Amino acid sequence: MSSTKRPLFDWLFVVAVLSLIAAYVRAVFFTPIEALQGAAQKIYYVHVSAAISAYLALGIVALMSIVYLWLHDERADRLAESAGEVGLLFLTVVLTTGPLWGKPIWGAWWTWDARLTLTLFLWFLTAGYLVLRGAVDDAAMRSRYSAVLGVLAALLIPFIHLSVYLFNTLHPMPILLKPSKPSMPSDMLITFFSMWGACTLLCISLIGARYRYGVDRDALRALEGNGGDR
Amino acid sequence: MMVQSGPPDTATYYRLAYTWVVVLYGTYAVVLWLRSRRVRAQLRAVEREEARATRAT
Repeated sequence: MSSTKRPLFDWLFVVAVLSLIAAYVRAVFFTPIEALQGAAQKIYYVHVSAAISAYLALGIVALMSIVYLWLHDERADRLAESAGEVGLLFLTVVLTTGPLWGKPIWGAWWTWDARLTLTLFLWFLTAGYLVLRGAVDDAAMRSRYSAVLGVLAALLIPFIHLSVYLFNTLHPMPILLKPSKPSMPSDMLITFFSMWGACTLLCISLIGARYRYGVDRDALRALEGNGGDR
Repeated sequence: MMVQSGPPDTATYYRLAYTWVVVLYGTYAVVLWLRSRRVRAQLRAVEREEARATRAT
């Protein structure tokens, strides 16, 4: 099938959207309100799910960047680029829903806490990765430079996760991604896992759609005979 | 003595966050679809042009 006849959004995207709707319905209507924080606690479900999806996307950027540097396979470079763009979307969700929780709970939209600041750095690095891709005309140089930046950016992820242990921070400690049992009632835990699953599906399906867009754009560029604005 | 009855009212922030997340995801999907549509239209036009040039030669 010609690439232009293949739908941009496949069945996985439909499943992801349906899962997200189901997770939203569960979070809004069937999940109890936390006693100390009120309804703002429910921001946790979308915030943490988006954070894990951002880590997943940027992990793919790093992995595919290493593959590109090793094999010089343009598919790896295209997949890294796609995951970088989707990772930036999820990081934006993280950095905007966090303050919406922080204002009613901390009394401030933002603090220069280690985890918040490192996440903001990661956002800038990811945005820089995408800007770099648009700034270099030569395709091989663009792929090589951005692959190096993609690997370096992903090195921040473990520091972001461990920052709450390494520094004296205001950000809450992990509730789930920690060695001991999750400190959350089962009702809330099911809601979180629903949202996490939906976000992961959305992340993967958006990366797939962005990859298909990249295939068409590169085919167009090859026909027009230029290295263009990848 | 003041006794707090029930959780604090923080629903506005929660509603705003949930709406904002849908807006962000939705906007990205629509923008990606529009970008793809534009590129595919250009690709079809170039392919048609190439096919016409091949037939002419």
